[in-house]
This record gives sequence, structure tokens and C-alpha cells, in this order.
Amino acid sequence: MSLLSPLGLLAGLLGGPILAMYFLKLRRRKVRVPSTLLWTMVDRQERTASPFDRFRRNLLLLLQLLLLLLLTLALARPAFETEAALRASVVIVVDTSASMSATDMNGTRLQAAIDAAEQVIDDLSQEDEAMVVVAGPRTDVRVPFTRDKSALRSGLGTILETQAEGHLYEGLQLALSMAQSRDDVSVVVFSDGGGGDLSELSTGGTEVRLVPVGVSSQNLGITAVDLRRAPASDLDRQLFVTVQNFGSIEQTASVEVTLSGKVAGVRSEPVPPGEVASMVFAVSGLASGKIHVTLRAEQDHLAADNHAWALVDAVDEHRVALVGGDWLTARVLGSDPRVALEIVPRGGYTPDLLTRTDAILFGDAVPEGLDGFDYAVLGPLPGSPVTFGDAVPAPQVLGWRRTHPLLRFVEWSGVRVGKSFQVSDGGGLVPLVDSDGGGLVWAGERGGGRVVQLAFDPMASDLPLRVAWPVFVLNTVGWLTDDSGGSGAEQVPAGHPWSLRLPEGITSARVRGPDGTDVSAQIQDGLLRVRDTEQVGVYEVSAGSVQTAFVANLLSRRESDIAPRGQLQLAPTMDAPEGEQAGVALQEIWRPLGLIALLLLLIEWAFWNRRRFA
Amino acid sequence: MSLVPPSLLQTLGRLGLKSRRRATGVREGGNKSRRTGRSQEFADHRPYVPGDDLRFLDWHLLGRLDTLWIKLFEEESDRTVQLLVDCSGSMEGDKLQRARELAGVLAFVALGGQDRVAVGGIGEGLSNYSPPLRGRRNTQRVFKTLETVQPGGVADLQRALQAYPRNRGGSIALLFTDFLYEEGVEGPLRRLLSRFPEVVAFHILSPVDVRPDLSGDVMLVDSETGEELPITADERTLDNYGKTVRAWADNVEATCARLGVTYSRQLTTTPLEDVVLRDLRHAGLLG
Repeated sequence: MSLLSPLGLLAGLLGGPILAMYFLKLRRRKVRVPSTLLWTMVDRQERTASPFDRFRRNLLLLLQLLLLLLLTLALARPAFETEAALRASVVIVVDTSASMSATDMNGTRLQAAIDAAEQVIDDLSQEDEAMVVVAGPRTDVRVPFTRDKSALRSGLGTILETQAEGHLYEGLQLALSMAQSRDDVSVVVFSDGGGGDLSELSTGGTEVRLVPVGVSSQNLGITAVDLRRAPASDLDRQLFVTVQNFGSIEQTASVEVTLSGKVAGVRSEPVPPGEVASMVFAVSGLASGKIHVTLRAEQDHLAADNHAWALVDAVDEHRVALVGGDWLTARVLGSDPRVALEIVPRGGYTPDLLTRTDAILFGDAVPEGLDGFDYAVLGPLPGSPVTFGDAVPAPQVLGWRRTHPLLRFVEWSGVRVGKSFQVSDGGGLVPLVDSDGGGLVWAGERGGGRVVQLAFDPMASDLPLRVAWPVFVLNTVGWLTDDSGGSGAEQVPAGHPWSLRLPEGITSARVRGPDGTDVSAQIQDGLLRVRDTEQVGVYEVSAGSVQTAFVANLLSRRESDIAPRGQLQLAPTMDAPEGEQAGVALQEIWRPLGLIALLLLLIEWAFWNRRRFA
Repeated sequence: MSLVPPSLLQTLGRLGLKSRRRATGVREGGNKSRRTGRSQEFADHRPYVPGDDLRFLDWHLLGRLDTLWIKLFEEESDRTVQLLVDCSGSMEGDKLQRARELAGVLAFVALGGQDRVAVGGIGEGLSNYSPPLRGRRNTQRVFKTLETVQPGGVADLQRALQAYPRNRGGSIALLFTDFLYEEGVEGPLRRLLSRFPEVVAFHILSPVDVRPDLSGDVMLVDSETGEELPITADERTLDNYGKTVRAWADNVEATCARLGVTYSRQLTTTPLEDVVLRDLRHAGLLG
């Protein structure tokens, strides 16, 4: 406690005169009695209290001295240092990012932050005003500037936890912009400080103070989940799960994967502090449903990053036509359960194939009018989309683009080709396999459709005799039909909007969140948008005839790293001025003292009247 | 007869004033005298000596014993009842009124018993003195004298007695006082006893004397002397005062007993009828 006007203590000197008046016995009621003779027989010590005894017994004097004490204190303007901001206006920024739901405190960090914010509100004086800004996945002004403390508390009460990545930068930016409307504004941030890089944020001199919450950094989190086609077989898929230890002690990460409620795999692996553990789980290509990944660790304070979901569909059946192809290719295609093969003999092409198939493989002359459709031409055949030049005998493969989906797991080295043709005009296609006689395999898009072109006759090479051939054929079908292998296209980061183009005529949609409650969704211009994805899990969408789902996962290293920060890493201009005690405010208490003094005055008046008229 | 209620006076008509001593009055009265006389009540015999009145010779003893004996009879002598009313300042109020009433009652009884009744106010000197009167016809005069007694000043018994006329014959002094004398109790009582052979003291106390209604820091002002005395009237002080008063009253009573003074303590809050018909009769003063 400090005194803002120490000279006010001089008023305490008035206690001297008050005591002197009592010593001098200025007022003693005279009572006429028949005789004082008998009173003189009473021991003097007994009949007259000593001055000090009278003080002790005299409630009126005690009240007056207490009154003087209170008034003296009030005049000295005592003030306490509080957690409140220094300024008359306070912008309260509450971080609601996923890391604030960590349970390393008595309750969650968010609850601790709200409690601390309420304390700041309690410490505000009558003239002070404050506003509440929520900085989470979305930033909003929960309560605009007001002096109504109950409104501020109510606003704090509406703040909910999220399981999404927060944007403290935007929250602070909003708070600072709102602060521009007032003089003497300070911004108080209730956060664990894990809001990302703030060093570029300009405050314009506004004081920003962090009230840190959180005490522990022990947490393991799932930082990545990816569902891919198995490299060995397009029929199978693999689920890649990455777990990171953000704490300071080594822990064993136990990861369980379930597919539609059935356990699909369990792994346990020790993870040193700061290290990453990657785990791979096999998922059948024929299976479909929800994949739920659950991470368990002994010391883990954040639950939001211990779960991740993925949606997996059974591998789609692709309708593929093989026009004039060889029997070997037909056998390869026929062996793939994803492929519904239609074999068309040479010259049997009809345009309606384009409507009833997803892709066409030509071993025959290519008809016109295929732009915009997906097809492959298995050799330098008439009607090919490229223009061929001179023939090149026995071209030697020099290299190929191993990362292209067409060439994945296809070994081209040593492949002998009898003859190839140089391509004088690729027609928008690019070579994927290069030889000394030019590109042997070309691929690209034409008019919105995907096209694969071979510059050699495979049957005039040893490629069909190699294992590379069926792999290449199936890669071609996969690429043409754009089969991503269920790699999580319907996955969004929690808190990010999800959208879906709906067929015409659908004007309403129902989205059910992970907890079973409905989530608001808007349809505008045929586009369904779901913004409230702050809870991780599976969202089921029902819009007319469209029945689909998507998942929201946290998968954020920034949020999983729950180590509390003691201060915000702000730009140097944001530091508090030298010598100023940032984050400490002086709360004067002369008003309550004055009120108590007034109350005492009333009591003294009543007591005096009671004695006077008794 | 406003001093004493008429109904009470009717009751008093059958009562007489008793004395522990024989009357020594020179005139015949209604009281037994130490001297033998001519009343109808036989007292004793004594041998005959020449010159005795032969009318009192006991002829029966002469016939039986052949000796001369003279019969002695009780002589009924009158006495003077001295009503000494303390009218000092401390008696102001209910104490003086109770003193007037008691004196009036006893005067009425005494006048009915052929006693003479004198009244004197004892203040700083003798005041409102009424010489001895005899007979019920003087009741009103005595009452009026009593009513004219007014309080004031400091009680000075010695000075009052010096001014008090001496009467012939025996006297009984009835003193109505609060005994709040600066010099104490024993001195004044001895002076009274030296003047009157029998003294009855009525110690009149008011509730103000016993348990004053005081609170807080007050300045007591003596109604006689005007002296001031500061006190702090709290429960403890008042309790101590009460104990002191009781001890003092007991001491007064003990002093009276030691000096042969009949003592009767009277509280002004006790109804007058109860005092007269119960307390005084019980104390043997009326009968």
C-alpha cells in the first residue's frame, strides 16, 4: 500500500484536541442530590474513573477517534497495487486457442484466464471502462467498451473453449485498433503466450501486458495424419500418424487406430522430449468409414491434439474402356477390382463410350473430339494428340520423373524399346520418360482432360514383360481417373471453413458436429460453407440428396506446444516505457474509507442522541 | 386534615403512644409515672410513717398482720412529645413529606393520649417551633405547623437544641431525620439524649439515597452545601455506593442501639398506612 497524499496524515493531529477535550472534562452533567455525604464515603478510586478508564469506557470517544482515523487515512489517499491495468480504459483480450484448454492448472487455462480477467474487472474503478475481445480461431469483440461490470462479467461467461488453432495476432490487432478510440488505454492479454509470432505487430505506443496462464509443458500431440495409397498395392492404403513430444520428459506414445469403431492398429513408441515419432498403419483399400486416431500418454495436459480423424471410402470403381488393346493389358486391367473394364475391339469405338466410362485406353486409332476427356494412347497411333516426327530405333531410357503418379514404382531403367518416334509437337503434354530419342511417355492436360501418350509401341518392347507394365497401366488408370486413394481430401484444420459445391436446387443443409449438435451452415450461390469447425471430429453433412462428411483436426504444432510463455514477444516499440511498472495499477480506497467514516458518523450521532435524551 | 388521610386517623383513634420510660410530667396525664400517686392502679406498699394520709392506710393488712402499711398507687402523669423534624436541605422532597406525615400521625395519637405535643423544625437552627399543646382539639394546629416546615440549609442540631425551649416534666423526643450530618450521628444523638430522656429516631431514606438514577460522568451537587462532587456513575460505582449506604445505615442503627435510642428505618416508598399500622406497632411505638 502506498499513500498518494501523505500530507493528509497531518489531519491525525486533530486527535490531540479531541483527547484534550476529554481530559479537560468539558462536559459533565450536573445532578442535584440530597447530599454528597454518602458519596464521599465511597472510595475515590471507585467512584471516579481515571481519565484513561473513561477513554476505555467512552464509546463516543472511541467512535470519534476511529472516525478521525478513517478520515485521516482517506485524506492520505491510500492505494494498493493491483493486477489491473494502469489506464482508465482496459481492453481485455482472452486467448481461446486450443492450447488454452490445457488442464495443467486448477481447471483449464481458459478458466484461469477468465478468473483473472474477472479480477481485473473487479479492480476497475467506477470511472474505468473496459471491453472484452476474444482471440481464438475467430476474433470478435465480445463486449464493447462499457463501465457496466456485470455486462463485462457476462461477456466473459460466454467465452467457450475451442479445439482449433488460435490467432492471437489478429486478436491483438483488433484490440489495438479498438484502443485507438480512447486515450489512456491499456491492453491486458490473458493467454499462455503461444499465439505465434507477434514481433511484427505495431501497437502505436499502447501498453500491452500479458497475464500468463499455464504452468506445464508436458504434452504429446498428433501433428500429422495422412492417408495414402500403399506403395506396394493400389488396393491398399496406409495411414501415416506423426506424434511429437512437446514436453521436457521422455514419454511413451500409445497410438490406437480404429476404423468404424474397430481397432485397426495399435502402436507404442517412446518419444524423447522434442522428438517426433512416425507410425504407419495399414488400411484395407476395400474398407470405408471413419478412422479415429487416439493418442495416449502418461503426462498429457491437452486433449484436443490427442485425437484425429480421417474419412476413408472404398476404392471407387472406375469404368475403363480398352479400345483395340492387347490381351495382356486387358488382363492387367481386369485384375484390378477397382476397374470395370469394357473391351472394345478395334474399330468399335463409339462416342457414347465417353459418357459411360471414366477413362479410355486406346490401342487403336484415336478418334477426334476427345478434348476434355481422360484417355491414354498406348502407342504412336493415328489420331494421337501429339505430332510425331522421325522414328528412333532402340532408344535408350535416360531418365524419368519418379515423383509423377504415373511413374510411381515403375522402373524404367533397362527397358528395351524397339522403336520410338520423336514428338515434334507435344500438344500441351510433357515428357515423363526421356530417352536419347526423345520422350517415350508424355502426359498432361488438354481441354480439361488428362491425356497419356506413349511414343512407342509397348508390344514392340520388353516392357510388358516387366513388372513395371501392370504398375504403369494401373497408375495410368488411377491418374486418369484422379484416384487420390482416399488421402484425406475431406479434412480441414479445426477452425477453418469447409465448403462444398452443391447441385442446383439445394437451398438447405444440415450439418451435425462431432458432439451431435447442429452446426450452422450457409448456402450461397450453390456453395455450402461451414464455418463453425472449432471442435475436432467428424462433421456429417446432409443437403438434399448429398450425404457426405468431413473431418476437422487440430494437427497444430503451435497449439500442441503448450509450454507457457512469460511474456509476449512483441516489437521493441511495444515495451513498456522505462521505469514504468508495467502491469501494476494503483487502486485507491479513499471512497470506501469515506463511506465507513460516514457510517461511523451516523452511529456516533445516534449514540450521542441516545445519551442526551436518555 | 390533608396531612394524614382521615381514614387513617379514624384507625389511630384507638391507638396510644407507647414509651419505654415512665412519664415524668408534673401534671396528671394519661401516662404512667415513675412517681406513685392517686390513680386507681395499685403499685406497692410501704411502712407507715407519721404524717401519711390515713386514707391510704391498708386496713386489711392492719387487721391481719397488726402492722401499719400505706398503699401506694400509680400516678398517671402527662408528658411532652417533642416532634423534631429535620428540615435541612437534604430532606427536601419525599423525605420531608414522609417526616411530616409520620409526625402528624404520632402527634394525633399523642394528643389523644393526653400528652402534650411540641413541634420544632431542625435546620440550621430551630424553626417553626410550636409550644406544647394538649388535647385533640389542637391537632389542626400541630398539622399546620408541620406543613409550614420548609427545607433548606445544613442541619445543625446543636444550635437548634440551644434554641429549643425547656419544658417541665418528662419529654419524649421523636426525631425525623435522614441522619445526613456532616459531624456524624453519635454527637447529635448524645446531645438529644442529654436534653430528652427518651429519644426515638425515625431514619427516613429516599430511593435517591439508596440507588440514585445516575449514569455516565456527572457532577453531583449537594443540595445543602452546594458542594460539587464528580463521579462516574456506572454499574460498578453504583453497586459500591449501594453497599456503602447499607453499611452506613446499619452503623446508624447500631449507634442508636448503643445509645439507647429507639431506631426505626423508614423508606419513603412504603405506604403510610403500612408504616403506621404495621411497622410502628411492630416496633412497639404504637399500641
